[in-house]
Amino acid sequence: MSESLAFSINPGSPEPIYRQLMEQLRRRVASGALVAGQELPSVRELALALAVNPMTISKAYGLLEAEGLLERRRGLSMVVAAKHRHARSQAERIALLRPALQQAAEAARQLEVGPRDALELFKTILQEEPK
Amino acid sequence: MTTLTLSQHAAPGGLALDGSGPAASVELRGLSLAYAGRPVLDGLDWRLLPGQVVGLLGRNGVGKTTLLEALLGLRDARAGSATLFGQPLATLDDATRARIGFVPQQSQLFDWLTPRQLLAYFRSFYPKWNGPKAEALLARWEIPQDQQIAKLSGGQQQRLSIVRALAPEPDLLVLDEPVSSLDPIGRRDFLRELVEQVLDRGTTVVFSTHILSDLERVAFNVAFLAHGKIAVQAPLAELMDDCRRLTGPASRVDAHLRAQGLTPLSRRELDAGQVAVLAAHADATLPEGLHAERLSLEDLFAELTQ
Amino acid sequence: MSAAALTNPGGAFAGLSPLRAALQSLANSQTCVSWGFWALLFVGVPAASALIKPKLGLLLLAAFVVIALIGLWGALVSSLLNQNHPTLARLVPGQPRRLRLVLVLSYLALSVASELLGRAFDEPRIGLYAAATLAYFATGVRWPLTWVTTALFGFGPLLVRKLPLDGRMLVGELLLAAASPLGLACVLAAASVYLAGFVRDGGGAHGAAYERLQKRRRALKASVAGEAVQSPWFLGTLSLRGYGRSFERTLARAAAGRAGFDRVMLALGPQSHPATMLQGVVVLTLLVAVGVIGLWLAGSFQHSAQVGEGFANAMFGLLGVMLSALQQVHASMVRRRPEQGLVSLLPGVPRGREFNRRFALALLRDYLTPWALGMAALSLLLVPLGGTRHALVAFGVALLGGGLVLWRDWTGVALIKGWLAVLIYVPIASAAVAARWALDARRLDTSELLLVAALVLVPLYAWRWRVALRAPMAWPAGRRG
Repeated sequence: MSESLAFSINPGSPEPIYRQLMEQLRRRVASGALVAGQELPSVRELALALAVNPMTISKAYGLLEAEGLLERRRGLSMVVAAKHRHARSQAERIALLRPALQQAAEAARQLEVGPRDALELFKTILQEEPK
Repeated sequence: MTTLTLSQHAAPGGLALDGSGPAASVELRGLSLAYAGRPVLDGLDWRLLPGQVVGLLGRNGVGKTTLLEALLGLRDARAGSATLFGQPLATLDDATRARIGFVPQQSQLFDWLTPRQLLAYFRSFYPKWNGPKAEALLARWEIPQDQQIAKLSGGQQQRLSIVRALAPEPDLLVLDEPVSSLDPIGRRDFLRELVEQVLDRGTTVVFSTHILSDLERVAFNVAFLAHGKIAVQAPLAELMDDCRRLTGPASRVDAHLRAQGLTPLSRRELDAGQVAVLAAHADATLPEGLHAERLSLEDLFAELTQ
Repeated sequence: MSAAALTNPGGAFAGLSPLRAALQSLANSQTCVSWGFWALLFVGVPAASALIKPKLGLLLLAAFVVIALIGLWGALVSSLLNQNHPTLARLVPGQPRRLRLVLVLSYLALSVASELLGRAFDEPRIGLYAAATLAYFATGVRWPLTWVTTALFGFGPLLVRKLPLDGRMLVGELLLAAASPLGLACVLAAASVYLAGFVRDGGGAHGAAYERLQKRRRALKASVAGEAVQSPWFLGTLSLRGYGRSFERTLARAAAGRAGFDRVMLALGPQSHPATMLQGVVVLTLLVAVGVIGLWLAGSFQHSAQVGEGFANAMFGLLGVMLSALQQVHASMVRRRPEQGLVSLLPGVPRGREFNRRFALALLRDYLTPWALGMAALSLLLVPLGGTRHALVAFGVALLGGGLVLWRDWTGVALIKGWLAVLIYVPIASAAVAARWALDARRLDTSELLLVAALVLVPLYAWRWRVALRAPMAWPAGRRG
C-alpha cells in the first residue's frame, strides 16, 4: 500500500481536502497508475497516514463510489471499479487537465502575461520537466 | 448563529437544526459571560453532537479559552445554561465527569511532580484508565518518567498534558491550543493520535488552534467565534464548497443576494462603494460586474471573524 | 541599569552612581500606596503608643528608625551585590572600585553617625554596636546561612558570665578599648576591608557565586508568590521530600479505597502543604531546643526568669511560620488555578457547597495541626524556664485568629503585593503583644483571656463559615472573573 503515502494534501488551498483526494484518485485511475480491481487503502489506514479526519476520507470514497469510479467489495475495502478497466480516453484525460490550466490562465491574466508568452512558457516547462 | 443548509449526504458530524437527532454531547444556550469587566460571551448558543470533531476559530483575545472553560464549568456565566451529556454543569455526576478530558492551554501544570507521579495521581480518580496506552505514548514521545515536570521542555510538557487527557479514554475531549509548543512532526503525530481516537471511539472533540492547516486536516466541523457568539458553525468541506466571496458594487450585490434568496454570512466594505460579501452561493450564474471566488480556510477565517 | 550609566564619568558624585542605582531600584519596588502604608506604620504606631505612654512612643520611634536603617542598609548591600556582575566587573573600568567605595562609605557614614548620636545621648558604645550590627547584616545578605547564628545570640552574655573573672575583665577591657575613638577607628577599618572583599572582580568563581545569588533572588521573589519549587535554603530539598512522602501515602490510601479530601488538596502544591508547614515548625523548635539545651549546659537556669522572657520571643518565630503558611495558601490558590480547574473536573471530587465545606475544614485542619504541634513543642521546652507562660498563651490564642482568613469566598482572589502581605502580621502580632501585656500586667488572668478570645473568635468564625459555604465553588479560584 505504498500508494497511500503518495497522496498529498494541501491544506491552504480553497479546495477542501476531500475534493483534493478525489482529484488525485481520478487522475491516478485515468493514467492507469491504479488499475481496475486494485484495492485502495482502507479509510483508517489512509486517515492515519495523512493525519486527516477519517470522515473526510470516507466522504471522498463515498462520492467516488457514487460516481462509479470505485466500488465497495464485500468485506469493506474499496477497489477501483471494473468498468474502468482501460485508461480513460485522451479526451477525458484532457478534460481532467482543465482545472489546473484554468488556474494557470487566471495567474497569467493577473500578471498580464499574453497568451503567446504563456504558451511558450508552458511548452518549455513540459519539455524540461522530467515525467 | 448562522448555519448553512446541509446537503443530504452530510456525515453524522453535520448539525441537526431541529430538535431531533442524537442527544447533544454539549449544549450551550444563551450563555453570557464577562471577564475582567468586558463582556466576552453574549447570548452564545452552541451544540456539539456525539462524534463531532469541531475546530474552534477566532481572533486572539476573542474568548476561545473563556468559552472552553465555561463549557466545562470552570468559569461561571452570568446568564444562560450549559449541559454536558444532558446534565447541568453544576451537578455533573461522577460517571459523566469520567467521560470528559481537558487539555488546558497552560501545559506546565503540576510541575513539582514527575510524569509518573502525575499519571498515578490522575489514575487514582478515574474508574477507567488505559495504562498501557499511556506508557506507550510516553515512550513514543520520549518523555522521561522520573524527571520533574518543571524541568521538561515545553513540547514534552504539552505532550504529557495530552497523554494525561487521553488515558481515561474520554467521550468528550476539549483541547485549548494543544499543539502550540510542538514542532511540525510533533503536531502531525498528535493529529494521528487524535484521528485514532476519533476512529476507535467516536469521541466528541472540540479544539481551538491557530494552526489552520492542522484544523483543516482533522476537524470535520468548524465554529467561528466572533463578537461573543458562534457566528458560523458548519462542516468545513461544505463551507469551502458552497461559500463564495462576492465582490462588486454594494447595490448590485445586495440585489443579487435578494434575488437568490441568500443571507450573507459576512459583509465588508471596500473602497469605491464596493462590498465583499460571503454567502452560500455555490456556482450559480453571476450578473455583470460581480465577481465570485472560492476561499481557503484562512480567507474564511479573515472574513468571518472581523 | 545601562552600561552607559556606569561608565559616565561626569559629575562630582559619578563615583556614587551605584548608590543612585540602588536607591532607584528601591524606589521602583514600592508604589505610592505602599509608601503610604510604610509611612503610616512608622509614624502611626509610635504616635499611637505615645498617647498611652510618651516614652514608649519615643522608644518605638527610635526602634523603628533603627529597623528602617538596617533594612535600608541590607537593601543597599543586596543591590550592590546584584550590580556586581562578573562580566561588567571585567569590562567596565572601575566599576568594582565604585561599588566598594559606595559600600564602605555608606558603612562608615552610618557607623560614625551612630557613634556621634551615641555620644550626644551619652551612650558611648552605640557606634561599636552599630558597626557590628551593620557588618553582621551585610554578612547575612552575602551568605544567608549566617542567619542561623541568630539562635546563638542569647549565649553571648551568658558565656561571658561563665568566664572566670579574668576572662570577664578581659572582655570588658576589649569592649572599652573598641569603643574608644582609636579602637573604633581600628574596628571600622578592619570591617571596611572585610566589606570591600564582598565586591569581586570577575572570573570563574565570581560567576558561579553570582549565579547562586540570582537563583536565590528569583526563588525569594517566587516564594512570596508561592511559586518556588526549591527554596534558596538547604531546607528546600527537605520540603519536597515531606510532600513526596505525603503524596505517596495519600495515593496508597486512595488505592485502598479510602481516598479522602487530602488527595484533592495535593493539587495546591508543596508550598501550602501541611508537610511543608510542619517542617518550618520543626526547624523553629530545633533552634529553640538548641538554645535551651545550651542554656542548661551553661547552667544558667537560675537566671531563668529573665532568660525565659527572652526565649519567649521564640513565639514571634512561631508567628512568622504560621502566618507565612497563610500567605502560602493564598498564593497557591491564585497560582494553582489551572491545577484546581483540572482536579475539579475529576470524578470523585465533591462539587459546589459540599466542596466548599470540605475544603474549609481541610484548610483549618492544616493550619491548626502545625499550630498545635508548635505550641506543644515550645511549651515543653519553654515552660520549665519560667516566665514564658504568658507569651505562650497570648501568642497561641492570637494565632487562632489567623485561621479566619482561610474561610472566605475564593472567587475574587488575586495575588497580594509584597507590602500588603505584611498586613496579616499587624493585627495578629498586635493582638498577641497586647494579650501578653495584659497578662503580664495582671489586667487579665489566663482564663479571662481565653474567655475574651472565645467571645471574639467564635462569632467571627461562624460568620466566615457562612460566607465560605455560600460562595461559589472555591475551585478553580476566581471563577467569576
